[in-house]
Amino acid sequence: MTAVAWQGWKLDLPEGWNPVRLVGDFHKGQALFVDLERPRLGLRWETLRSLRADPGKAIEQAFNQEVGQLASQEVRDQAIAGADWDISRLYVEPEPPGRNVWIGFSRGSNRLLQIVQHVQRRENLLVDAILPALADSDPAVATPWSIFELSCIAPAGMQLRSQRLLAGDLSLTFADKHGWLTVRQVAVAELALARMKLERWLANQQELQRTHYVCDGPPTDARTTSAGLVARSRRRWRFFWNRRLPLELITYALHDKGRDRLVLLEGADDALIKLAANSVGWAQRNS
Amino acid sequence: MGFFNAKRDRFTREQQLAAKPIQLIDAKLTETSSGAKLQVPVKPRRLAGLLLRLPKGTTKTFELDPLGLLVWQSCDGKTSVQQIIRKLAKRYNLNLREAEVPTLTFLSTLARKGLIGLEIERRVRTADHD
Repeated sequence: MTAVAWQGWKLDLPEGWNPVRLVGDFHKGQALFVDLERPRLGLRWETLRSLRADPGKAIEQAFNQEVGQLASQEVRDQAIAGADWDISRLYVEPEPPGRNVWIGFSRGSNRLLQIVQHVQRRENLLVDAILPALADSDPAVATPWSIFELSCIAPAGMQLRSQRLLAGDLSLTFADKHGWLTVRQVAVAELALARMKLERWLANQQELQRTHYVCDGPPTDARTTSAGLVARSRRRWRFFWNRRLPLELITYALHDKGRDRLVLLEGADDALIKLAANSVGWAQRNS
Repeated sequence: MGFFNAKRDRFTREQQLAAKPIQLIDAKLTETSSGAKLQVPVKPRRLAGLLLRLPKGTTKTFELDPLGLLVWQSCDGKTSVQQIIRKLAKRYNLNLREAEVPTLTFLSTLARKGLIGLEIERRVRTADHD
């Protein structure tokens, strides 16, 4: 099983199930997972509009929409050990092929999560393996992220601003009011370094911000768990009026030899970058 | 249906993944430090052949990185696309989806250049009518 974590939720999925559709933000969105053959699992999440809204009623409506009124009478409560789900309900398709549907409400994030598994035959994968590992976290605390091979922990309060998920080059950018943090991973490091030196990778990453920043000195050794380089860029004088742009940007280019990946990190706060750098690859270390 | 817009065969994803790529040309492969060089003979096309005389033995060189080399060497007519993807993912410790995208792109490039062909099993559909 591999961990997939996105916008606060986290689940363990069988190897080979990968996302092909990721839409939305923390408050509302959907994800679709497929394997090499067909769609396997869909996930939707939505924040309840007001704190006074009744999650029970919202779940009932969601079941009616997903499986119909008749089938929703067969919905049962599903206890998930060790998780803080206020409501958790499951519908199992009695005569597959069809869909197994689970809908739950998490008070921590005030969100409804809905999982739809496409089943060809009777199977307990959803109940036995997927639901027990399902978690949902509050955006106010540090949030785990894991997509394809890139996994990291975003600092508390930071939300996803943009993503670039290319095969072999994955990048997530998180932002809050004070700044942003980019985590980029390039696979396979052995091939990437044969093509371009680590210094060049670092310079290329810095060049992405060249409109607003200019390099400030040569790169030095990064004092992190992985070997690599660090370089600084300073804000161009002509943007002195733009207070939202931090004065200085710090860029790290690290070679994670254990996983054979290049990790590039960029942000304004050195401590936050180091925290994120240490968390990169948590999903692979845990599996 | 007009003459010029004849319907093309559409293959399902299952058929595409089960297809077995095979090398169509006798190319010379030279391994290098960064992968390999693939030398293929250039054959002038009909009109170009009349207008442009190419010297005998003219070749065109494609540079392959180690991933491309692995895919090229797997185009033996026995290994399916799906098996190539799994092989690549296993060799470089990649996610299946991360291996699938470049493999399919690379195979379609090779097919477009006429270097490989894809053997696709066609299933005969039978419909049962009551």
